[in-house]
Amino acid sequence: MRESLEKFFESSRKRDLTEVEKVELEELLNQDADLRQEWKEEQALNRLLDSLPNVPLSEDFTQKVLNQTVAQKTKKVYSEDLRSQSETLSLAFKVRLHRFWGGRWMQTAAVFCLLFSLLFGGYLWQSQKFTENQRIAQSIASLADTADEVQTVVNSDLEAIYVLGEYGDSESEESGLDSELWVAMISY
Amino acid sequence: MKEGDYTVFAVLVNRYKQSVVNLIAHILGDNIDAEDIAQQVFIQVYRHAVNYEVRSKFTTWLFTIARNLSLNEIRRRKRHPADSMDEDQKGEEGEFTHQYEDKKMVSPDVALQNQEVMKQLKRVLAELPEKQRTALLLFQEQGLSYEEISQVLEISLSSTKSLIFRARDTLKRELRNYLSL
Repeated sequence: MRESLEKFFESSRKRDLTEVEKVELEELLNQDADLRQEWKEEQALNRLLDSLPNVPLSEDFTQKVLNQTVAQKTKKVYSEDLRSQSETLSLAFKVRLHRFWGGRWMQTAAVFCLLFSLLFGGYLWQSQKFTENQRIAQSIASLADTADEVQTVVNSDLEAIYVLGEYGDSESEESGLDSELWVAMISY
Repeated sequence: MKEGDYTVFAVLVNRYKQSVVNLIAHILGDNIDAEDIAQQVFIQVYRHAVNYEVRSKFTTWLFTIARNLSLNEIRRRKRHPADSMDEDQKGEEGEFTHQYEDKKMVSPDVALQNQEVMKQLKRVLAELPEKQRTALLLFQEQGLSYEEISQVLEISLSSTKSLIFRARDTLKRELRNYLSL
């Protein structure tokens, strides 16, 4: 019974039942009240689903679609034109380059190598020269600082020696201690 | 349809626009972006007309594109939850609340009851898994065969039947009180 009802369900979803099917269905439903209830619910659900309303649609929907289609096609044509122009320019450049070098790629490579070597060599020479100059400058600067210090020491020492000399002359020429100091100062 | 044949294309759009918009709105669960996506569907149809295989039915191909674009929109919404393609239309209209059409004059009570039934139907439909919902609507609303639905959803015939059966079963269970009225 259940399978028969399922068949009627299936048929009723696709099409209206024939007169013969309606009679058969009625006989089936008369045998079982639950089946009749199920059939009622099935039909009610079908009606409910069929009554689902349409979604509101703007009146110019078709026109909007056509406009967008045309716009996209125009854009496509324009981009194809641009691509074609760009390809033409690229080709023209390649032809010009080919004419200029005549396809002599070995010569081109040699010229590039030579240019690169010259540039790199020049750079190395410049950087080495700069380093040498910097080293000399640093040496001169440190020498100048040392000379200043020596000059200051020498001047102050000479003054002390002069004072000590005067003292030695006037007070004790026989003092061995002073003579040793004098010798030490002189040797310094 | 040949590329450039706008007259034929316009006829196609006019014939299927409502079906496509309805399907998209049901898949999305609202009609906020349904029209915009439907426009994209027809533009895709025009652009890829040369790829259309005459072996399959046109509606199968059309609804496949509609479903794919709808699923893209669902994915986009998940990535940007607060962002809609047409935020301005949100609100009462956005919640798939087109009115129940009363073709006959009915009493206010019956009209109210019909509205309630429709509201519940939409709620249950929206809660169904996407494949069940789409399968049921393609079958019930668009009149596609099981074979055609299986092509749109890219699943087997038995899976298609199972999806529709389960969808109807859920609807009957959830709407039992309204169906026996």
